[in-house]
Amino acid sequence: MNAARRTGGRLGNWAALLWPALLLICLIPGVLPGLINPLGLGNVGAFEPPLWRLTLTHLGLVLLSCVIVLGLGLPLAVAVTRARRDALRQLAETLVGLGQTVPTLAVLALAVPVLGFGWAPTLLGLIAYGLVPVVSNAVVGLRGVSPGALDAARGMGMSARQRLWRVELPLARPVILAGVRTSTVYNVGTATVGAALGAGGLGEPIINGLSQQNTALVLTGAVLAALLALSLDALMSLFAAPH
Amino acid sequence: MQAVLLLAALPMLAGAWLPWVLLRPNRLAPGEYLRLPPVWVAALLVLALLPLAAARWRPALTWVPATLALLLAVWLLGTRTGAALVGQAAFARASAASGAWLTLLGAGVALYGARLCTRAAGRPAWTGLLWAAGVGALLLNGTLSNWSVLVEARSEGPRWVQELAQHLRLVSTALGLAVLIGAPLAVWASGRERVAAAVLGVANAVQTIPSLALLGLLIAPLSALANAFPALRSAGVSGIGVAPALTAMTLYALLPVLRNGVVALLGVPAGAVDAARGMGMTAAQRFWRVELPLALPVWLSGVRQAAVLLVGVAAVASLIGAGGLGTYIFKGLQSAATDLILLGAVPAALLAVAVDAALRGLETLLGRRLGRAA
Amino acid sequence: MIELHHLEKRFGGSLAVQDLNLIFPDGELTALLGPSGCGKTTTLRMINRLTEPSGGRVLLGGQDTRTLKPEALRRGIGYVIQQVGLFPHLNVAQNVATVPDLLGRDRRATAARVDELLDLVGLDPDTFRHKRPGELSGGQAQRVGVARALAADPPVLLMDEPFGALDPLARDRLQDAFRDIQRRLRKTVVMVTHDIDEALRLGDRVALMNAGRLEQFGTPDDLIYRPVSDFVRQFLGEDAALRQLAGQPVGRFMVALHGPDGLQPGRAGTGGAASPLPAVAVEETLNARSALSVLLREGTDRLTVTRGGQPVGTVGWHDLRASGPERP
Repeated sequence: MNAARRTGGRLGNWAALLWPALLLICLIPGVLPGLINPLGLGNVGAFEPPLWRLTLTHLGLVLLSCVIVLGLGLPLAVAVTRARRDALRQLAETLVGLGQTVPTLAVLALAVPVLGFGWAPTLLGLIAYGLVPVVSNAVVGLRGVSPGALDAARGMGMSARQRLWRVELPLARPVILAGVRTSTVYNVGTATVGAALGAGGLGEPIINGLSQQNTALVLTGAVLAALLALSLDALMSLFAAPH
Repeated sequence: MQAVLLLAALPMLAGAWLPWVLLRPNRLAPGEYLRLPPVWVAALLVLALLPLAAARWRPALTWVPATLALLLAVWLLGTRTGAALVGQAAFARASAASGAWLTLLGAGVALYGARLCTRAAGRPAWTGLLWAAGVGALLLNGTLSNWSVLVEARSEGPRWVQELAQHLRLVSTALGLAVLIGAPLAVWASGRERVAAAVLGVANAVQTIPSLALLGLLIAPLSALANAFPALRSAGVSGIGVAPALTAMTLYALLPVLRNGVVALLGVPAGAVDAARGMGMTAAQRFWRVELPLALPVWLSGVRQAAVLLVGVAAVASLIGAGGLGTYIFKGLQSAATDLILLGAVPAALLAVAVDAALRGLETLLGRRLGRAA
Repeated sequence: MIELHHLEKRFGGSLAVQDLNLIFPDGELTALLGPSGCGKTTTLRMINRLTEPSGGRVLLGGQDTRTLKPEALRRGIGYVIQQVGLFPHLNVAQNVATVPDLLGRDRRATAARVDELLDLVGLDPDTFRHKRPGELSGGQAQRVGVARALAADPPVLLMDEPFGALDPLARDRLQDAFRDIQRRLRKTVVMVTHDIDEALRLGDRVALMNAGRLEQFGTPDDLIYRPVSDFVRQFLGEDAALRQLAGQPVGRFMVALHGPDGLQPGRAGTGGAASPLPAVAVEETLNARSALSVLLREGTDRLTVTRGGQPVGTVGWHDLRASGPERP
């Protein structure tokens, strides 16, 4: 069991090196077109904006939404898990469940009439979708704190605030971090769909390629988006690995 | 409950003041915002606060003002759009504006809070569904027929029904194929420790890949095949159209079906399997009488996840000419026509929710039949 | 009768069981005892071919088990395991009826049989028939497990640490119940256990295994009073005799009174003359070890044994010795 976890950890470390390295190599101008063009699926030339700019836009959107999601989601989860807030918690859980169900494209498209085209509706969608795993994991984590530990903390004379900071949040941390990891990785995918609303990012070559029937273009975007998701997942697993 | 109903009251209070109807000379042009007459603003304000009061004094009756609030909002949307269009040209469109949306949102949350109240009071749950009957009646008697989205739907008419059917067809075909392929594979893999571990590892890695990217990655080999063997292209294999979309969707749905199948079959209690063997059940009897019934609820939740994912992926698949509700979303996005977007996005969202609820119900039913609920 | 001839099981390079020769007599309960990893469970599972032997033969009623289809063999053998392994998706009656169903027996007859078996294991059929395994306590679940194993009335019962997962109180009760059932049914039972008390209490015979080999096979008395090796003595412990006593009611050791006149029986009252009953009395259901403790505490040689307060016999040091216990 221990040995298995250790090898798993070592594999995780390798993945955290491998995927970002592959991503960076693919971003060197000319490398990816050089690999894809010989497949005879279509033609990819120089990109305008260049691929690394698309990747940065994508990454920026994801990370920005991640920060906002943490700022909104954690207080929300803490608020609904306090005593006698059962009804609010149920509402939050229902909304979170709804968020998991409704298709990404539908939500992003519905944001367009309100916010117009561009990155704004995509960011809204990223926040809405990103909240889902963060809130649900934080609620599960906070509710999973053992009543014994809480009782002991109360018995020691901790105030509600001290209990939250010294007992509940530290104990729930692994579950919350796992939620942040899921949220970030899923948002790489959501941001891809955001290209349909003109948000830029790595979805742009995919969407353009699909509508122009240029599979090479599709492949370029798909490879980079997949590598970005795998890289973020591997990198975050270094921090979010459960104890 | 109070907190939930307060959350419901806020958007309703704001919505009553905000503009309700956007009137435009045609579906693309900018238009003017119309507010509600003061009488209705007052009525809405009262109905926004009534559920709060009801929850305080008569919790079991909270559903009455909540249902009334929703029905009034829908009725107002219908009558105000109708009133706005009086004397306008045939191309004019009256859409719902921020006030209407916020009020509907608040009324929805109020209904949710009312349901919690009903449940806490131990009353029967059917009262929580009266609103659906009311909205259905308003739809059928034509009250809503001047609302721009329904105008658009009427003009699309049979074509919209076709796209919805195509959406359903894509989802059900891909799901059916995924189950047909995935179920035997899962059974095979779960019996082999290394294969099972490999399947789970690959499934988890592939799950991190964005769905759009995966769709793209899956289309590439098909497209390459079609290029290399022109004969295949005439057989329907190519980078665009229904065939590649279905292939990609099937492979996409295969993952949750396969992964949950393996997890479910591995999760069958070892004691039950050993006892079944010791009693003299053959491998086939063991599978059908013990392993499958015990694995089914967990497995079914994988099928549900796959179905919900597919509703979303099918919307994207319209990009490669597979049709479906996504057609309206992309058409609407290209021409900046909000009503078209709504015509695609709202049914797609409702479809996902309905599929989820239906399969979830089946899971609960099976779980109870199969002894998980105890 | 189950016979093991030169039975052997190899896992990779290591021998889990080697050259095992054993005969489990008909109608008796044999405890397969030994430290963990000694091969006792492997031996049990080779009898119904859940584990295939690497060498040697298993004869069941004189027939080599290899000549039977494994499924057919297992349907004729009851099987009870520590995890119970009730099927959570079936109710109690359906669980018990599993093997009769597999054998294609008549439904109505099976239903009657199920009720009879639930009665036998001490569960009220009307209360328990339609319960789900999830609603049962550990002890109740294992009672159903025993009923299920007996459903097709197999002559042989294999039990793998059947009471190992229960709390001490439930284990005691279930051991008592099972001893009564076995006294009535007289099945040929092989029970794997690592619990010495259980082996001494339930076993007509005990087969003590160590490192894949048989150390000693005999009655509990044989193992306690005539151990063949240091391992046997050490494994049973210096207090083995006390442990054996702990598992038996003192009534089994007593010398019964002859008549209702309260006179000492002939054997104890050597002169034949009437002598008064010992002053200290214990109930016949008290375990023999506690009775021994009372003898020590009171500094006396004999105790009166009572049933419901009425004297029915007496017991002394000699009666509690090894030669004393009459085997049921």
